[in-house]
Amino acid sequence: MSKIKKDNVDLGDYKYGFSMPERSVRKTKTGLDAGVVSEISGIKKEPEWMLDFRLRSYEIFKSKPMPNWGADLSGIDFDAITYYLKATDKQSRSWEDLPQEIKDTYDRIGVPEAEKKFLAGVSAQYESEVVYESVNRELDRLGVIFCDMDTALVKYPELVKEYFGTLIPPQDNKFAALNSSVWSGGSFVYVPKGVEVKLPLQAYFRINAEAFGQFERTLIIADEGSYVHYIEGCTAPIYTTNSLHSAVVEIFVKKNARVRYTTVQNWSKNIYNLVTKRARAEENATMEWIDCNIGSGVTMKYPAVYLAGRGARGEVLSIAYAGAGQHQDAGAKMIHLAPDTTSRIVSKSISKDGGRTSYRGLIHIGSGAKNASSSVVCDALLLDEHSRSDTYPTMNIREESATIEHEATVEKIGEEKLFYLMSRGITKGDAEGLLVNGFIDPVVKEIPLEYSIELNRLINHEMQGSVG
Amino acid sequence: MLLKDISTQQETLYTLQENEQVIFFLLNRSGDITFDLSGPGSAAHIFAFFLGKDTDKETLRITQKHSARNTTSHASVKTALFGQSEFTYEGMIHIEKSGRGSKASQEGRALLASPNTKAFFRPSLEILPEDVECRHAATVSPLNQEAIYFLKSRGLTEQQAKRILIEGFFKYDIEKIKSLGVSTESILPLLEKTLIHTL
Repeated sequence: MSKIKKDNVDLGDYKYGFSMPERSVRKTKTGLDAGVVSEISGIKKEPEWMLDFRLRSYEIFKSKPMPNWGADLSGIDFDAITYYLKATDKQSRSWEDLPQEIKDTYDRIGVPEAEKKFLAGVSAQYESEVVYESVNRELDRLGVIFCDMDTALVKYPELVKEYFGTLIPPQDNKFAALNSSVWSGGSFVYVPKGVEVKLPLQAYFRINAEAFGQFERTLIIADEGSYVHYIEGCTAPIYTTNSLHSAVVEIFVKKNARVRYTTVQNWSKNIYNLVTKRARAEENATMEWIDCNIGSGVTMKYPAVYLAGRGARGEVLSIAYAGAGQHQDAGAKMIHLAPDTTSRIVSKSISKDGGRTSYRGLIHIGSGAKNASSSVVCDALLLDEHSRSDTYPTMNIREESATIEHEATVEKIGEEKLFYLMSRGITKGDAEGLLVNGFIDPVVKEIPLEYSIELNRLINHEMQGSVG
Repeated sequence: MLLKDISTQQETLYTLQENEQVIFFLLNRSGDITFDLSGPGSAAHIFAFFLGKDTDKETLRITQKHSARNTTSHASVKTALFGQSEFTYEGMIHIEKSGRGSKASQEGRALLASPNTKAFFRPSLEILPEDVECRHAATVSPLNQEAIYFLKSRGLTEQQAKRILIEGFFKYDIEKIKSLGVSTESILPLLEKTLIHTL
């Protein structure tokens, strides 16, 4: 991306900041034009309708202005980005077959171990393409589909065509249009009627190349009465130039189904993370987003739930941490369109060392969404005087019988608590870590154990560095 | 503490000097108003009431700007909407770096008393210093139909029942004004008159 050096980016000892030599079997030129879009589609041997969709999206992308609200995006130079990079020719189903550098990368992130222990399926995306996929045999037997989006387009064209881009059309926003024109990789999940996937499905996203854009596209369809938990993790190496991650995630939760989508975003601080995530919940369906944003330089992400069927429920549990040079502009949107729908948003944000967290949220209760109810709690913790916290909630109520509660607090870390812990011989860094982990606990306890431990460690690690 | 009824005033900026403490009362006022706490130790207690009827469509934007240290501001915006009325409340608490040790809060509460009413709330916070206490809350709820039924079963008309419930909805703020040590004698008749007029 831009060659602008961000001198305030302290990359410290970010554990995933290592880089491997860039390898590519196919790579588009830097910058974007209709030729690049067609080339990506050509490499993937896509059907005509998808090429049309990409080209149409590219025109929309060009015509849309940059958002003039939220975080500062002036560091993005669309002409300096590589939009497609394929690191290996074939996708592996066995770990040993992966190229050495890629294998080493995932070994260091810890993918195979996690998989062995508790995952039903795992997919790993390296640059533009999914390079590794392993799916538990049990899933195949139940008829659950878990593969990358490109494979889905070849193997299940009808399903893809029916849902793809219907919940987040390219017109939605500039970055959704960009993703729609150059998307590559991402996950496709289909859970048949009544099937409960007991163990989580997992995807790892890794950006290795410099000045690169990763545009994965994920589509999850949970048919009536089914359940699935999908987890994604994200890391990238540290470069002085910025990279862009702009995903689109669409989720369809059918009658009585439940989907939980957990993100532990730990991109390095040179990544612009601009993601559009939206779910549609039908009658009595439940959609839960658990969204943890620890890394990236700039994040703008507002997972949304369209509560379209009677009795549907939406939840967003969100943690944002902003350290030096970071701006986390995160939040949630709940659109109530049917009677008896309920939603809950819990947002916990922490700013430290000059970091800035913003909560930006929307509660919309449409006319006719009788007895809808929504509750929002945003708590912000400011750890020093250089940091900043903002709250921008919007409530748009067009239904008399709705019940809405919104509450927000901003506070600093409790001096007495800190003093008490330190008087027991705990260092200031550890004491702050304890208090911050206590602060985010209501969200962390919803996350599978392996991830919550990782999250606690990340927070502790971030607390150690600076305080004297 | 001084009680100022600014319901019919045109000013859009109220600046508070050092240690100045004021209770602001706003009845059916709309438009943009900034309360600038520019003197250390100053405090603004803002109580806004809005009763919407027919096709009323109003917007109230309140900015609580803390530019001096140890300043306090609390805003409470209560609206009861009838007919097809719409009310928008956009609140902003902005605490400057120089506003250390400040306390600020904002509260928006809407009661939708008719089916075709709309409420739009945007209570925002922008906090720069660390040493502050800040909170906001917003609720939107319908008139309690069971309570109306109960009151009617005791012989009250629907009008009277609604009036009692809305007076109850406002009472919390009236009590709060009293607890700040000022008399509410001057404002109670105004509220009552407007309520009767709206119902």
